[in-house]
Amino acid sequence: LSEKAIRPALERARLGEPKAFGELFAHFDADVARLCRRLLGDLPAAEDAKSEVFLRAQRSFASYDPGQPFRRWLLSIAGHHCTDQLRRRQTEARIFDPGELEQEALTSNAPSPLRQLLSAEQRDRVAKGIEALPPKYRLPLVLRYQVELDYAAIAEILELPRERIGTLLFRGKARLRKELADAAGGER
Amino acid sequence: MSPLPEWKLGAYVDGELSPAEMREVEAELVRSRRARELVLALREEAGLLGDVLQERPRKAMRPAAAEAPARGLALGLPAAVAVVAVLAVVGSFLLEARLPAGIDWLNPLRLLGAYEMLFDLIFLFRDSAPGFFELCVALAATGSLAALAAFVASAVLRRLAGPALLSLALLSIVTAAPPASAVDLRVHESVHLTEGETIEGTLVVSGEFLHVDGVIRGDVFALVEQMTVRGRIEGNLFAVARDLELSGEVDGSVYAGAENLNVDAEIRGNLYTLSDVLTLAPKARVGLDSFHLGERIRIEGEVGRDLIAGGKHMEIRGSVGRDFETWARRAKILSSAQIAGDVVAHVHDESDIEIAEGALVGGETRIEPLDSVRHGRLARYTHAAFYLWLLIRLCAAFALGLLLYALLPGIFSGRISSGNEFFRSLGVGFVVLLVAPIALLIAGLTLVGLPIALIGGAIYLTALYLTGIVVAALIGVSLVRPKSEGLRDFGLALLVGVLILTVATHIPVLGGILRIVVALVGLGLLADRARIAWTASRPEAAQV
Repeated sequence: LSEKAIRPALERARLGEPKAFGELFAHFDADVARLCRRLLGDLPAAEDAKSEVFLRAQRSFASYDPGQPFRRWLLSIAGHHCTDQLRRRQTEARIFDPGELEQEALTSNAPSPLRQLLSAEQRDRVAKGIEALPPKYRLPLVLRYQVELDYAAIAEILELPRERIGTLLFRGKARLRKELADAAGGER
Repeated sequence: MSPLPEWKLGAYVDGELSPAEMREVEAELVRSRRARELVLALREEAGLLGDVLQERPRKAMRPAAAEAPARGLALGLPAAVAVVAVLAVVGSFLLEARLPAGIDWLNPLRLLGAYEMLFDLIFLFRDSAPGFFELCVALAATGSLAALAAFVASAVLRRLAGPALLSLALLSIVTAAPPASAVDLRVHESVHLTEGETIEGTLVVSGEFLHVDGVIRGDVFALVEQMTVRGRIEGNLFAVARDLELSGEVDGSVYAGAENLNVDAEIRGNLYTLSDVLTLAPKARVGLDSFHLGERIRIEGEVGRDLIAGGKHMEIRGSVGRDFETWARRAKILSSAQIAGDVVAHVHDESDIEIAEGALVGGETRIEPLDSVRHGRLARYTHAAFYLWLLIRLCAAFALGLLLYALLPGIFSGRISSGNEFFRSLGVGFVVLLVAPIALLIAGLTLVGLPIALIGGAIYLTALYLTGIVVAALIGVSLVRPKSEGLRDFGLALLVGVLILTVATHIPVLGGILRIVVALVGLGLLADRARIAWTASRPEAAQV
């Protein structure tokens, strides 16, 4: 749904009309649910997270800058919340281990682009592949390509230096390519 | 230098690099074909990830086979080139040949019904694909200016240029900005401006008819079936109409294409027409020059300065303030005609022009025989020496292209993959073509700047020569898609490009236009390569 179409509802929400929030959330319900599911991995947790995201959005609506797309603002809140959830879930195992990252080579030998692997029928497989990635790769990928956040915003949500985001995205894509290629090879 | 890490190329695709890092990547892209391929793959990959994650529908993918080099092209192209060459020679011959009446239909100059077809086509396009047509008109009108403005703006924004370019940008804005005026846009709407009514500003109309009995204080752009102007247009008139009748006043110039065009108006500027039948009625007056192309042209009114016309039948009864020049199949200057200057007639035979006894010609009358296949410009196509020299030039361009590729491969790394990039190159080329000689001239006026001007002039002329080779390589590479960066694969692509361009630029009339486009695009590509090489060689400047 375009930002232009939700402008009247945004105006009414700014005036504090509760029904307007309901309309806005209904518009973005599927977007938020999809993001939460991708970030958290399991459906019940994603449903809980979605409700919490809408609650937080309503509470912090005063901080929303009307010059920015509302969808991105809402999905950023979802990103923040789900990352917090994951951190809490994995307090023992650190999601972003710098040591491990530094050990990995940063130059691949071949472009091996996804386009060679992806056809219309394989989109589901790619989506599932992304969901199966470890959180440290999945989160930046989803925040970048689903929510379309820039590196600085992703870094803020993940509480990482901005410079790390590029390498995390690279590693995530490399891992995804490899897994898709392995899966394709296994089928042959 | 070691290749850039892939994550940096990914960040470049995502637009997340600092200006200094971006220049580093751009320099690598100039150097390395693999880096370019990787960036393209990563860009597509990013789009695919966005589509999958946002569950957007995606267009059908290009099959992998389309990526493969077109091997059949190497065989098919020479055949196509040969066919085009034969057609060009035969076409040139037919253009000039006096064919027996029975086979006169072969002559491309026989335009009976062509104008009607042309206007049918224009209106068919407008009705069937209005968006496309209007887009084309708008693009044609603003394309070059937009490209120029976009280039200047992007260069200034990227801080690649110093105060000089900024001044140029400001100067362009000051000199090119049209005066602010309202635009009245009437699409799919017929307009009748009645007497006493006034439109302030520009009027754009695309509809069934436009009748102007009132006053328009601005320019008029019209694409209509019927158009009449009995009132007044204070700006210029740009019109395409099936029937166009001008009997009022136009303060500016008139640019008109019409099947039937009747002018009985006072036009203070120039008059340019393309029409099947044109009549400049006895009361009509054109303040400046008058240019016409059509089947039947009749001038009964007054032309203030030169009259230039080409067509099948031409008749002058009125007056011409200066010279009259014609390319008509048959021209008649009747006894009531008054021509203050010279009469120049480009005709096949002296009998094709008839000057009545009472006609007044102030200057001299010159009859210049039209070029024929056997005599004149087109004769070159009948001489073996022409093809020999063409072959020598082709070989020289090919050899020089190979040598340059071996020494400076970066020159050939420019690519045009979209309309935007094409217009951008065209705009940059246009700027370089005009600005460079002026800058060199100014430099040459000073004693200190003279050597710079001489060296710059030599570089400028060399660059102009290289434009053909660069564009030929671009065409060849995009058609043949060389498998590797090796000299052999590039050589095949270059050969294909040079062959195509050589044939295309020698097609009569079209070839000349193509040469200009090639020069502009080539200059644009070369300027872009030079900019990237220069910024890459100044890392300290990039850090600022």
